[in-house]
Amino acid sequence: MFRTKSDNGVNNMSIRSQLLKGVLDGCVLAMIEKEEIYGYELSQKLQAFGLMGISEGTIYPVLLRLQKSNWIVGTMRPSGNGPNRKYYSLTNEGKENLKRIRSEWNLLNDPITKILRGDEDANNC
Amino acid sequence: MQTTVKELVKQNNEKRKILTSENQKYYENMLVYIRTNALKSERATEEVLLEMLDHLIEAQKEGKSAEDVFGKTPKELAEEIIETLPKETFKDMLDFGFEIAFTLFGWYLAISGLFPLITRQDQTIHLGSVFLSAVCLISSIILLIYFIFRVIKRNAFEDKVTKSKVHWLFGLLFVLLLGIGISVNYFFDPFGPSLTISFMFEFGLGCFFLLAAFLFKKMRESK
Repeated sequence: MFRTKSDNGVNNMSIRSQLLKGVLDGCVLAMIEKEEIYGYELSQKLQAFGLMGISEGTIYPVLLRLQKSNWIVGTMRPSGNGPNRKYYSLTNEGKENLKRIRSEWNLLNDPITKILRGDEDANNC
Repeated sequence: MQTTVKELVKQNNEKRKILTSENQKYYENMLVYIRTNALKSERATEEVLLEMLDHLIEAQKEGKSAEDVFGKTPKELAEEIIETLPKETFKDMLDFGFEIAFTLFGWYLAISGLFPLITRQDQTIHLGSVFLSAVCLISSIILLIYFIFRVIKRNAFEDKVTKSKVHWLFGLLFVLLLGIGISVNYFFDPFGPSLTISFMFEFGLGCFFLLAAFLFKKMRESK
C-alpha cells in the first residue's frame, strides 16, 4: 500500500475507503460485466488496476448487496482443478444500472476534478 | 443438484484445516460472529463464509495473512456482512422453531412419560398447570438461546480466558432455567379443568413429537 510521509497510512486508508464507498459497487459491476468472475479473482483484478489500500474482504459485503438487489447472480461451478467456485454475472437489471452509474459518474467526474484541483471558476479549463 | 447447507458446513470444516493456526484463529472468530445471527438466511451465510474461506486459502498460498485480506477490523467487516445478508424466510424460521420445540417437548414428554408407562397407571392432569408449565419451559429455552447467542457473539473477538468463564455461566443458567421450567408444577396447586389420560398417552405423544422433529430436521437438511 502507498503511504505518504507526512500522514499516517491508517488515515489515508479511511479517507480512501470513504471516497470509494459510493463507487465501489460500480467498479465491481464493471469488472463482472467483462467476464464471469469469482471473489478472489475479482479482488486481484481490482488491485491490478491500482485500487490499493482497501482490504480484499470489503468486496464481499458489496457482492452480497448487489445480489440482494438482483443486479448480479452467483452460480456455483467447478473450476479447472480447484474447488467449486461461485461465479458472478450481471443480470439485465445489473446491466441497466451499470449504464446509469457510468453516465452519473461521467457527470460528476469533470466538475469534481476541477473543484478539487482548485480551478478559479467554471469556465477555466 | 444444489449443495445442501449441511454439505457446505462440512466443506468449511474440512477446508479450515488447511489454514495456518494464526489465519485459522482470525477466520474462526469471524465465522462464529457471522453465524450467530439467527435471523439471516442460513444458506446465504454458509455460502459467503465458504467463499471467504476459499479466498483466504488462495491468499495464504501467496503468503498473505488473514489480516492482509480482511483488514485490521474483522468485527466491522463481519457486521457489514451480516447487515447485507438476506433474511431467512418466515417459513424457514417457523419450521426451525417447530423443530426445536418438538425436539425439546418430545424428549421431555417421552422421558417423564416413562414412569406411568412402567406403573401402568392412568394420570389425572390439570390443563391450567400444564399450560403454565409449557409457557415457562418455552420462555426459558428462548431466553437461554438468546443468551447463548449474545455471549458467543460478544466473545468472538475476545481471548480464550473469558471464553471459559463464560462457559461456566452457560451451564449454571441452563440448569437454573430448566429446573424452574420443569418444577413449576410443584410450586402451585394444580389448577384448571382436569382430565384423565391413558398411561401410554404422555410417552406416545413424546415419541410422536420426536418423530415430527426428526422429519423437520431431515427436511431442513435436504435443502
